Amino acid sequence: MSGKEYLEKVRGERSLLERIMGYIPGYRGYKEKELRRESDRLVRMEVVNRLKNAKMTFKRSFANPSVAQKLSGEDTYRYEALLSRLDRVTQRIDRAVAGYAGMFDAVKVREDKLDQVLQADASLIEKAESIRLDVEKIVKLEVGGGEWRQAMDNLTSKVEELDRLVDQRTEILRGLQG
Amino acid sequence: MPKVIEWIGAREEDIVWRYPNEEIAWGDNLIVHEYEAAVFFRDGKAYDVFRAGRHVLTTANLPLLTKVLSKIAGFDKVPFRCTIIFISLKQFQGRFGAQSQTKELAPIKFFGSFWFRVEEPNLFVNEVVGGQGAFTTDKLQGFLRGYFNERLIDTLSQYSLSEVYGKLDETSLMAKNALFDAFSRIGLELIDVKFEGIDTTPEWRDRLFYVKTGVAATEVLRMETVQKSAESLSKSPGAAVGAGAVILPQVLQPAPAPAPLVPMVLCPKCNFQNPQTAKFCSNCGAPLQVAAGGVNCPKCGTANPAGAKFCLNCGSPLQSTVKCPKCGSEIQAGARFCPNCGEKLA
Repeated sequence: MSGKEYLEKVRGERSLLERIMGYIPGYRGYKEKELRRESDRLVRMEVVNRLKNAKMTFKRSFANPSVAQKLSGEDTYRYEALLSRLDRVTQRIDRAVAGYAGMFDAVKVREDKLDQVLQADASLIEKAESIRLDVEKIVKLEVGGGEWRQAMDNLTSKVEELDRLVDQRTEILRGLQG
Repeated sequence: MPKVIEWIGAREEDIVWRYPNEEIAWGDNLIVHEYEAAVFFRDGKAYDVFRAGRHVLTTANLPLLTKVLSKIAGFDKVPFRCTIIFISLKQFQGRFGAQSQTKELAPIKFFGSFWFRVEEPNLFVNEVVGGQGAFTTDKLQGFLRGYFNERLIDTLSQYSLSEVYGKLDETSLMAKNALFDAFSRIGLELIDVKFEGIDTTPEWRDRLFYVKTGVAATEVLRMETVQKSAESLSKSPGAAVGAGAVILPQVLQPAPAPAPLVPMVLCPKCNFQNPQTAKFCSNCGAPLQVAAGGVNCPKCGTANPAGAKFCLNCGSPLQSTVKCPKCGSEIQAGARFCPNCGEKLA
């Protein structure tokens, strides 16, 4: 689902009272922005759920002592570092700011900017899904083997890439992009 | 007047706070901050977990009207009850510490910290908090202590003392992974476990030091025996002067190297075990040593010199093969017919 489709979905969920109130000057703009923020929150929750799913699959696979014991010191570091990065990016998306600017702020946050943010966040879903699928493949590999290490390194790069994409969101809100 | 419900003034250790008023009216506003979640119960059922935002609540409790109708119906209080339980989603630090044993039964004391956060607010409220008004990290530690001690004791018992000291990272990862399920079961996520201190008794610390410097474990134990003997002698009031001079030199001697294992030779005749250097069996007198290229008699087992055609003891033929007089095939000695042409050989 694209960002616009999410917005339409949220718009369609409005009650009669909310729709009537939408005609009140001043309130309409507030509500339009709020709808975008709410849609964006839904999109971000979707991304977060996929990443949490990936993290859970990973942790569950190592809950078995016979699997965890196969990790050498170096592999332990590799595993821990990946998990920390995955956790960081998940929290960054989960706790991201909704997007707001004060009345006299130099950079304004209007509907068009919130639409861009929404679109940028929607593109994260695909990336998160790809991470989730990679994790499912990794847990089936022999822990500590060459193939496993390669897959772990590739996944780390993918998580770092996702982290960089989250930065774009901040840049849009600050008016540095778009 | 609609109320605004929010959690203000949370202390550092507070995980959960229950909004004390259960008479929540239609239209009351619930404010949930980004670092919180709020579980909303209506008529005893968990309806939703609210995340950050302002939420206008809909309940059957209509201001004024419900109160009037409740009085008419004879209720002593409004029957439409709602409960809001706020959960802090930040990371919390817990402490652990216990005593255990390593693989070689060395006593070990450990302590450290663990970090966790509430992953599933609804599960956590229903499984752990229940109807309590507040819930702090202290209470949770009391709840989790059993899990921690059991898992860590079990994990540490799989490692030797030197491994525990040398591979603390791996040990904590093992512990963390082992605790993962126990935490998720009650809606928590264990983020990290770190040992801050591990110690053993002075006796085992010395042993660890010597073993790390390359001294054999048996040598460490012998030195300990010497030390204990010396201490006992010095304390004993009845010990005669000079007793130490008699005993200590003996225990101070390094343990004699164990005699190398001498390979034994079996007597080919009676199967008696003889030293490798023996020339004749000490049981039956049969010759034991076979010269290079020599051959043992297949009948009596006597060792015969190389090239001998018949046993010097019983006269049996020693050659392992014979030639068939008809077809010339190589046949095993003692065969009665040639396997190639069927010629009788006896």
